[in-house]
Amino acid sequence: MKIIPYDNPNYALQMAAERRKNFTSWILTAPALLWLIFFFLVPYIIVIIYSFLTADIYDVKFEFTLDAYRQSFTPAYLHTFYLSFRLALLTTVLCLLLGFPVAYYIARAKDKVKNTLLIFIIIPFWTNLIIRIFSWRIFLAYNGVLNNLLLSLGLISQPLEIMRTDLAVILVMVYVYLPYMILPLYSVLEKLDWSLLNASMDLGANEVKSFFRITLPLSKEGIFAGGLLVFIPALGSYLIPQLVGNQKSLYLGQVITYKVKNIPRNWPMASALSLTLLLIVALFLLVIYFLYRKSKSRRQL
Amino acid sequence: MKRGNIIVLIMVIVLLFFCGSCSKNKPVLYIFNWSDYIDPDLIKEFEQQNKCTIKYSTYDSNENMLTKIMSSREAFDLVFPSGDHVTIMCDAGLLEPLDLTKIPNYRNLDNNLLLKATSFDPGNKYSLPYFWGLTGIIYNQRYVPESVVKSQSWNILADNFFTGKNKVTMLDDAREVVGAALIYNGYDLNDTSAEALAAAEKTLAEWDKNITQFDSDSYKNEVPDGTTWLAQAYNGDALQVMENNPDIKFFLPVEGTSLWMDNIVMLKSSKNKELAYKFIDFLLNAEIGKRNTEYCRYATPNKAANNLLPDTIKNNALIYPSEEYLQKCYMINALGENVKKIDKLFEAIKLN
Repeated sequence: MKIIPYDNPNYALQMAAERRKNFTSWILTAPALLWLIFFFLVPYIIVIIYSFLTADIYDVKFEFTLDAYRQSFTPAYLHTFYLSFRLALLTTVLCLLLGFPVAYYIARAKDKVKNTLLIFIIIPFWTNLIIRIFSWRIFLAYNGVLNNLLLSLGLISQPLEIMRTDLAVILVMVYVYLPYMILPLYSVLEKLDWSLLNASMDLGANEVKSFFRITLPLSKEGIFAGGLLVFIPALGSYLIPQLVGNQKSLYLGQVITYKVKNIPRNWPMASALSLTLLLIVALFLLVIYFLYRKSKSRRQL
Repeated sequence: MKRGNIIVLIMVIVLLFFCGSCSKNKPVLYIFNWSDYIDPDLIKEFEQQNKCTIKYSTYDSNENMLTKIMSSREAFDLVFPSGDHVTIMCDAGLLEPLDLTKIPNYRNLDNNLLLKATSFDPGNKYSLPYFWGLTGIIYNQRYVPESVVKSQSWNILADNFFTGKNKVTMLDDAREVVGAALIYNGYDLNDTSAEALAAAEKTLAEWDKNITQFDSDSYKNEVPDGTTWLAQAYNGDALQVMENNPDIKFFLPVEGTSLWMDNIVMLKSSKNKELAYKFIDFLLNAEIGKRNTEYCRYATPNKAANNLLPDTIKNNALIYPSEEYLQKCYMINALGENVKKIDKLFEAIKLN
């Protein structure tokens, strides 16, 4: 028999309300949960299973093997992993360096200006990604807008080789992913208590010191969120390297796509590469998360 | 007021629902074809003639097409695979045998080409030739001196003139790339013997120093704009580009090349077979075939259409090469398990 505390006659009512609340929250989260189970978890389970199967010409043979993983760690593929990580890291760092001043400026701007600037940041999302990449191709082409402009200004004597280079890939990657860095940074910076900066100035710190001691530590969450939003998609990017890059730098997204579509198909290999990438990213995130937790607990002490 | 708004909203939804269902009365034909491979006016014409809608999608490689068909929920009616992929699709049980009584214009097709097509479709049971063509080299003479391309050999791809310039592309197709190296070394492009592949590997390693990208589509824009100076290309694509730019030139390599035939096939899963038959017959009509050939700039297997073509096309050696040259051309056949050897070689070059 359950004993109801005598000093709280509404205990039963509270418990019923709590149960109702729990039930409601379950009802509300169920669609999202089901969606994630069917369209994220189930496909990943299939990918995991496929990564241990044997490749056939058009499909797979249901014979267990570790060949796909063995192949994934050969020098050629490890080099592809390295190139992909280098590209993602470089894109993230450049997006941060370019995005922080922009987010800072927007956060400190007047409301009217702020809204206009935010619209400018969001506008590229209204255009299809392929169209935007093709615009860059036209812009960077040997006889493109950029080269013609520089030639007409007399700044160069012959066209620059930008298209089909690593530089072109970096330029387009930064252009595409920059909004993903600016928006989280802006949302954190906007909530910043600017009086802290004034206080630090009053206490004798210059602007640079104030930035590194106050603004930067307080915008850590925005940097973390923006970094993730840029780094993870940049790691598996396929379209940009394929359309503006060159054969000498083949990235993971391109290799996986090739394994999926080419004949003979090698879906186990594509699955193994995807899962290896996923595991590396997961480990990377865990490390960052623990470092973040550590620094947070240190601050609280 | 609130109730009035709700009633209006319900009426709008009902109206939209009925509009949607009205448009469904028009039969729909789903076509999956290579990019830039049909005169768009012909699609409109067929739609008007047959009071139907054509949903037209494109692909840039046989592999992409096959992946989409095997994994997609979309039910296409007609597809245009190359010869080796007709075999693959047939083996996979994807194709509907064609009822030739429903295609009266079938008689317009060239018997010699139908005979050639039996190498991948015995008895022409599942496919009919659509266009055939050859692979060669396109270049921009504004940037590539005549002395470099004078030999008209596949080995121009290894010329020191291109080294370090990022200006050469090849097709993103293992059979075409490895095939070119095999032909250059005097082998059939379907040869997968250790000796043949070793020779091809050596050649590809030389070419790879100059190759910027493997891409089956971009050269159409990149050769004219100077981003790419020289590329492995399909003859019809090259001729389409040449029409608008006098600086663009194309040649068929002296050693020979791949000869491919793209074909019309009907999928078993087709939901509108009668309309699909009408469309096949429409394409095989002599006048329609002529117009389509003039647009696509590929060699037509339609003899009746061929007779109507202007001499500028009929006598163009880049579209219809001499019999002597055709002796050096090889049809890409399905290789079964041996395709893995070709792929291994191609991948080694890509990942190098």
